[in-house]
Amino acid sequence: MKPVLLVMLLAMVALVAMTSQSGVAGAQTSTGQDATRSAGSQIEPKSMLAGRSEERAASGWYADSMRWLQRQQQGLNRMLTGGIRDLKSNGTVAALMLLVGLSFLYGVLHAAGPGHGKAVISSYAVASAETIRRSIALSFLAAFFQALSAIAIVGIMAIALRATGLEIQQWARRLEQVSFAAIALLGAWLLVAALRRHVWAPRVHATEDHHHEHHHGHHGHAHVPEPTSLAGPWSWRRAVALAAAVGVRPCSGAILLLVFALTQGIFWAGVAGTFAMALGTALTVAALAVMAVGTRKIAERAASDRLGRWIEAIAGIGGAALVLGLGTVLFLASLGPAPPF
Amino acid sequence: MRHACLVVASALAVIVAALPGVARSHPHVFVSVDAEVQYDAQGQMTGVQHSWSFDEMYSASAVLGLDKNGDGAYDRAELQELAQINVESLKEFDYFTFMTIEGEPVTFTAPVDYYVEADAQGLLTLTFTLPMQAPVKHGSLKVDLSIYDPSFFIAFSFAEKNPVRLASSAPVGCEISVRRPNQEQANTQLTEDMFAGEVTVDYGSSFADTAEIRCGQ
Repeated sequence: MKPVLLVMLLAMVALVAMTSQSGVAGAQTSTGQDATRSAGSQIEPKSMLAGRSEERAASGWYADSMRWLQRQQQGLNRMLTGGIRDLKSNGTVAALMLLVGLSFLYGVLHAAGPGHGKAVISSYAVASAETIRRSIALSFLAAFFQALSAIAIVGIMAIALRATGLEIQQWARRLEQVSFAAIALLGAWLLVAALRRHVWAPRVHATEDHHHEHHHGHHGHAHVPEPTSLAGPWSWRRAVALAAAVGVRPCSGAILLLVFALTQGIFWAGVAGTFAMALGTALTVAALAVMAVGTRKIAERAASDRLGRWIEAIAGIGGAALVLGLGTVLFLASLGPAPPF
Repeated sequence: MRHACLVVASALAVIVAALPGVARSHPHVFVSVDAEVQYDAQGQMTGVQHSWSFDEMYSASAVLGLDKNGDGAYDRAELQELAQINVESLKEFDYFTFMTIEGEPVTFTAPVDYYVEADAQGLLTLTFTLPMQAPVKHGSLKVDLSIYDPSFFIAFSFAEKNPVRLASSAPVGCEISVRRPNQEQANTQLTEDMFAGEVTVDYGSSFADTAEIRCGQ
């Protein structure tokens, strides 16, 4: 019971932290808007103003917190370029530490926005009833792969092949499509496995002795014979497959940082920054995955045997469907026109 | 099993609900916008000339490998291909230029006179002229111009000083007022020239910097 309580406590703290941030952002933004509004009131008819403020209000705290995040990102973006130039001219340990710290922060914030496999990893972890520790490992593995992907693409293309910035962008886009397609395939595979377990072979399930402890053991769900290794209990092969699917897509922020470091003649600083960024990303992704898995565990613990089986089925099938859906949607979206910059 | 169908259906509902959040991106490129509204000799509005300045990181990655003559500088000729690709791919995004006349959206045709320049610090500026499909006599019409990316991959913000101007051939008595719904107090340096904070496709325009052009009364 204790670890679960701890996790929930952590999740609560994270949630409170997130809401308070958005609250601050909201306050800041509304001050800014008020100032603009009073300044603009000389030139704007009242009715227009009223309409606009309603629109703004409709966007709510989520919009406010997203904007807050984006403001921080632009500020950080500038500090990062400043940090790299500083490191180039000074070359001190302090300058390096600053760059690494800024990159880490960038990673944390960056992952809080959409992308970076947050939803995919959380859904996967819930679907396959992973433990908290494994969900965290998975998040870090995916972020690590993502860092490697960015370093490889810039290292190979810019340094070895002398490619242009546009060509790097095109390759990053291709890898992104591969990543989304792989996530969708993995989701389809998970879904088939979950359906087999919970729907197509429900009798096996019903006749089995179902203890509560089952859900919390470190052996996962070995009680039903699995058709494929992918649908079985925790396996490194499966975890690596998912992490690779998510991580093959290089983070655009890391590419920009690496290329900028390269043009400043200190590529290694970009590599250091990229790994720090990945660490930050992993932290955010892991926090969300832990929340998702923790919620499932709480629900299972609270539920009766019968309900517990339902929760298991819903989490297994729903989570897998979510991975499939996310991969498909992202893949289809990535086929659209590329942004010009 | 009917219950299983229910479960799958609810999972699909969750996916659909999550769609806009999934498709939405977060900004990696920051653009400072400078625009001049163009008028012909008769004082009719004909289009918009854009000068978009990019952030340092994007600029560095965009010019990578383009110093063909190896002189350490990037001249217009070396950057022409980049300019070409940029303006061509802008079409799919309506050039991120949203102009309305009395609330009606204006249609633009393919950009002309486009080029990219790098300044002494290596920051890139993309300049291009966006002709309106048909010239419009301004008169007392309300013209609003905003530049933003509804998907938020690119963060546009108006330049700090005189972001939108009128060409010298503009009719007498025209005025521009700029609204920056998302700008904060000037004392916070970080957010001073903050980009348009459009967050959702639906509300995008209400967070974008907007120039209101009014001629005569």
